[in-house]
Amino acid sequence: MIQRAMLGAVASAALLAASLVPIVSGEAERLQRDAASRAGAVIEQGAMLYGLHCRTCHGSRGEGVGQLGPALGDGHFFTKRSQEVGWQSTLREYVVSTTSHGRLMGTRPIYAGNGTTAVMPPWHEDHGGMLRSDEIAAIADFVLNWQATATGKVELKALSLPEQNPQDPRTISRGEQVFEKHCLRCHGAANGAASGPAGPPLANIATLGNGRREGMTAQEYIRESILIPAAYRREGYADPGKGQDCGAVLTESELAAVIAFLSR
Amino acid sequence: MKRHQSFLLHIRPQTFDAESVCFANTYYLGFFSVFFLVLECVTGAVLMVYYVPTPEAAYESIVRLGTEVAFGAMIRDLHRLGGECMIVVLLLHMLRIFIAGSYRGQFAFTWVTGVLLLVCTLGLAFSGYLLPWDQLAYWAVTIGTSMVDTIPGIGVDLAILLRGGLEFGEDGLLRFYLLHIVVLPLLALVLLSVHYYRVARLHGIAPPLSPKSPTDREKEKRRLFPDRLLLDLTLSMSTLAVLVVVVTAFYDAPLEHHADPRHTPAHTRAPWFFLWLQGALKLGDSFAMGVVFPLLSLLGLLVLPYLDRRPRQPLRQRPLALPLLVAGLLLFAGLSVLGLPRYGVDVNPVAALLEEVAPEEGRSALRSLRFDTLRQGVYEIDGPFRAQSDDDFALWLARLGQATARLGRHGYAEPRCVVVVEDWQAELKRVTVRIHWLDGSEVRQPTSAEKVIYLHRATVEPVVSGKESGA
Ligand code: HEC
Ligand code: HEC
Repeated sequence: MIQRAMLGAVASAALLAASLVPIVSGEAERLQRDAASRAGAVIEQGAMLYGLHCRTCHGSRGEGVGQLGPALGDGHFFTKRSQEVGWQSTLREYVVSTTSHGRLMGTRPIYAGNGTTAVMPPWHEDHGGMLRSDEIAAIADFVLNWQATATGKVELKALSLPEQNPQDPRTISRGEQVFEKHCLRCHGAANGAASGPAGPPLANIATLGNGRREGMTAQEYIRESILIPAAYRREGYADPGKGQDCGAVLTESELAAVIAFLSR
Repeated sequence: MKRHQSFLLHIRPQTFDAESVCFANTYYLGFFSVFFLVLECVTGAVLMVYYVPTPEAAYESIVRLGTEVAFGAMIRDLHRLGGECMIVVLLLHMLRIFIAGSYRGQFAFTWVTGVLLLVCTLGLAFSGYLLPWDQLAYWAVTIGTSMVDTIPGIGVDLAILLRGGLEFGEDGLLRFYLLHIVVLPLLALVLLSVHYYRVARLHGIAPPLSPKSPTDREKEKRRLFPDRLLLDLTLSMSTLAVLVVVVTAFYDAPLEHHADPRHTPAHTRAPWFFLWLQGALKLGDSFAMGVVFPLLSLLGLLVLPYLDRRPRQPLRQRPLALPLLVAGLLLFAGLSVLGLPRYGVDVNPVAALLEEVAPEEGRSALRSLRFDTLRQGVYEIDGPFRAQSDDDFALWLARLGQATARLGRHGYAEPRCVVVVEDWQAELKRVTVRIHWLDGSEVRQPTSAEKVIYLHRATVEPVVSGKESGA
């Protein structure tokens, strides 16, 4: 009786030990694997958040958007920017800290803003933003992941999306919608010669714009006017201190559409 | 008889009736309940070393458990699985007692403590559910406690007391944590002491109904030491071994994205042991179904032994018991099925398709494709899609095309799907799935909906020290 009971106990102990073998032998590898996949998941989350909150000013691929925000995915940012601003800690810390606190004033004239609002709002919820620490950390991981392409270690060809045909009536009608939503209030109706309360009339910009700036087509000039209003000021209109720059936040395809519309 | 000075030996009787420790009679369900309780306490104590009960740190501490702590994932899995097993065992235990009819007379109060232990365990499971602070936890528990709001008069105040505010936050998490590690375990310990004392010292385990002569029974005694103790040890170790195998090979405690009060997930699913409640809530008013109905059921269980006072009889001879049992089980199962997210919630077919292609949480067919088969490009899926090659990605596209075509049956005219794959960063791809259709019955308006998914190589094919692992 007692022997059988002892035997049972010993056998079950052996069973338990055997069941632990796979876990014990694979645990180091599992930790590595889970840590790697966690790091990947964090970058994915950062990419998603960046697309929601930062893309409009810093560009979907971190290329920067005109006067709105600097590039975060180029070689300059990864190799020179820390020294330029005298940042002592890591670049990742720089991204986390800048993103958390935002920027009241730009450090470069082109990003000076209009002087009435912060050029970049604070993002951390402790400073009035809407992101948690872990979300900002995820965005930072995503931004830092540009390093390989920014420093030329990895080359990626951007996907050549089918060009929006500027003659396509669908593009033009989309451009009209964009215009009504973003430009009308300052520039007035697009076909009328009368200007809006702040900006010049745009009825004939397709012809007037040609050559207004040295060597630029009308299309290039419109693009620049929207993205970098400070590049060229028209007498009597510009009052950059009052938030009267074009300063619209458009996606690349909206931009293309509105340019097609204005130069139809 | 020798008197023992030792407290430990005092807890358990020195000898047992053979009948009361006979497997065919009890299936050792009481033993297993205690086994799981002990397992929960031990694994829980380990988890407490790493867990931080604040909204800022809770989630991260669970992540760390999986990525930095050796055996952390196993301990967490065991704790989660053990809790669910404990509920199953308790339910079976109760079922057996009911079938055997041994809840009457002197057993009545023991039954009551048993029912309270079940409630306590459900409370432990519910409070523990919140602690990982992920979307799954946050929303299940938010919905679970929102029923308290519906109690007339005191409801709102009670809910605020429980959650520490109008919604869960720092205070609520701490309260649930304290419930989980202090209040409910203490309560369970007290209840278990009473329960066990009554079983072991007062009335024993009800013998099977086919009686043997008392003299026979007198003879068949089993000693605690060493026989029973060795058996307990054997059972514990083999059950643990089974659990370890299950946890290694089949079971992973879920962890979704960080809790986000601003973002209600596509599906909020109650844990299985509360699905019946979620089902009941779909049937009616949340006060009636969410508060009155569970409380009445509980009351019914508690007073059962006091209503049913006839002497013990086998199930066959109790005319009411069998229908009651079957009805109860059917109700439990039926409500649970109804509680599944797919019932009673209307989802727009396009949104459902996009959610299936790119679920917010968990794995999906897209994520199981090999990373390198996702080649950059624009893939228009119009009608039957001709796969250019037969790799997984092409098959995936073809299946997506079929699913899109099926939208036609739901009144979506000319549905068509475009998938754009872009190399977004080193080792990161961006996949856009866009569905186009013509909307409106008279003027057909081109309409589209899209979803963007980012895929990193490491989440699709985690690498270990530069080598690909177990492909
Ligand atoms: C409203 C436009 C805007 C948005 C939205 C915005 N930024 Fe900025 N960001 C700026 C401007 C302007 C600067 C300042 C450039 C300077 O100081 O020269 C800046 C600077 C930065 C810098 C420092 C760059 C450098 O070269 O010093 C980082 C990092 C940064 N932003 C990250 C982010 C992140 C991450 C997000 C999204 C959560 C974000 N930004 C959203 C406009 C924006
Ligand atoms: C907040 C008011 C405002 C909004 C909104 C606005 N603009 Fe402007 N825009 C101006 C002002 C002011 C000027 C002249 C400033 C200057 O020359 O630098 C201007 C100049 C221009 C010019 C150059 C005109 C010329 O004759 O040289 C173009 C082109 C232009 N805007 C296009 C647009 C488009 C397209 C949009 C909509 C996406 C838009 N703007 C939205 C205020 C605005």
